[in-house]
Amino acid sequence: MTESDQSTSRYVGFDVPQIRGLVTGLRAAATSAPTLHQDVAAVLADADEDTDGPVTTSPGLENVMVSVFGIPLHAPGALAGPLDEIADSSGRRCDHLEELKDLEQDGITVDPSLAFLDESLPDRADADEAVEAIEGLDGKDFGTNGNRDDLRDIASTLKGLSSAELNWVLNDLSVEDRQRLSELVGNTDDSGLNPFDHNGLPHHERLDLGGALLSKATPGQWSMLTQMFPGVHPPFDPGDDNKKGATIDGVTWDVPKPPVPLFDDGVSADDISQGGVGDCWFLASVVGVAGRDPQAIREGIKQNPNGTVSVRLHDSDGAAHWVTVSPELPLDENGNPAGAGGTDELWVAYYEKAFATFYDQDNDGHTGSYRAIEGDFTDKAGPYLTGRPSEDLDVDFDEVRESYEDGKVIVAGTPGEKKVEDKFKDGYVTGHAYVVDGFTDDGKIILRNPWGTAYPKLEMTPEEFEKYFSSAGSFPTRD
Amino acid sequence: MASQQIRVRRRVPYWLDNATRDRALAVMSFDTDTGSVDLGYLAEGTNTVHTLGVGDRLDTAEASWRVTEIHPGDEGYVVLEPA
Repeated sequence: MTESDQSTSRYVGFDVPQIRGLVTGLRAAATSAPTLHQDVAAVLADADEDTDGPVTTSPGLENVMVSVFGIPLHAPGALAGPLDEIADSSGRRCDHLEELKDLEQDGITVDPSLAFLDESLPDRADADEAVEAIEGLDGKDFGTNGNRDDLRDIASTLKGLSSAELNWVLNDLSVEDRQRLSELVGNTDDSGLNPFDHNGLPHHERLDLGGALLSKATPGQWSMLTQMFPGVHPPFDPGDDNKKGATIDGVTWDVPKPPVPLFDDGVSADDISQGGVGDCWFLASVVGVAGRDPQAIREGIKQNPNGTVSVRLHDSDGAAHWVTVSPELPLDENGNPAGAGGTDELWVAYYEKAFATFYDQDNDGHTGSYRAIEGDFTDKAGPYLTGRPSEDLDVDFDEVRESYEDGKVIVAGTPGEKKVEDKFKDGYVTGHAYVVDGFTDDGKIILRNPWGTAYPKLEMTPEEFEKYFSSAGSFPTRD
Repeated sequence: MASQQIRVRRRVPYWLDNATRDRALAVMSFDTDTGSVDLGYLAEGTNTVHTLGVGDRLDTAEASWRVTEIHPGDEGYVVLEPA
């Protein structure tokens, strides 16, 4: 079997020509249903007259005679509308299936179950309304309150569009209109003199809008959207501040080939392997959640019908945001993921990409890039993953153990400089984050390195833990 | 593998093969007193730590490198050249 055969065979259970044949049959049945109904009703009426009494007491046949203003209320006549709707829906799903096969040819896999997602009929008027609103931004006097309210109205309209309607809008907008919207939405410069001079959408609102559109747009429109909403595609720039630390040359953005699924064998803490980004503090939290509450990880990521991926992250108020990213990942010169994760399943890589897009509390002021998630505190990532506050713990063994036994994820950090005993040398990294993986029967704490399962776990006595670790944070995965 | 200069950053494993992620170089710690680095070489399930200064060689089963730069600090890194 060729690679191409393997690609299209993923949808072998859905025979599009046969389904389209069924659609044709459904439409014919819908068309003939009223006539059939009238014919049966006429035969029954004639029979009633000829026999001088009810010709049948069967509820199904009696109901054929029931109508309001000549409109049949029961089968077969009343089936005309539903049969047409089923035919329309099946036709749209066939169209979608064929788009999915095109995506697979480009190496983008979409879960086959998504092929049967349906959406309502597109409404041209809704698309026209959105285009007019965006065109209306040209030369508009926004008044003393600035433009944020107008932008929020437009964002709400755009997010309410179906895929087909969005397709119309993006095709109808001129380059100038798209550029104007992009500039207004992204205008967050603050002069400090005028409270209304930075009225673009705040970071997370901007990502909500860009991500919502990205989740519905056709692949051909992704680059247009990433230009309109720059934050939705984070540059892969780890260690880029001084150009001295970059470790990965020749990184390109693409989808791994052959196609790799989001999940291979469910969620496990063993799935996480840190790549070329210094985000151990974030990945240690991901390891912790995956270990303690794998379902939370599974529920927090979804593939969209157009092949994009959405990850649920939370802002500082605990509000959930589905952060949508394109399926492309940073790949090394051999086509393997250069960031977090591995080659068997991609959920970790997409969590990292979405977090790079979303994170807005970097100590160095970076936002919307992989650089922004390098090096941070052990208690900061948990709330982004769970929407629940974290707690800064003392490096106290008993306090840490109590918190762990309370079901919380514990991330612990090592100091920037520390000499350790030889027995820890192969697993202890300074200036690094670990996640508590449990406790041994003889009372030692077990610490896991987010670099991956190839690296040894640390087992430390209470005294050793308090000596060699300098920070700890905890957070619950659920209430 | 050791055909080019590589930079191993603090906190970041330098995977020698991203496909398998079973072999890597990694900074375990810096010693600012001596100017040396504890560099881990992971292979076959074992992370062997070597204390190295500038000019020292790191010989492994698959390649040899020479340490040409050591930059300790929070965003520290080590530069290795093929030996």
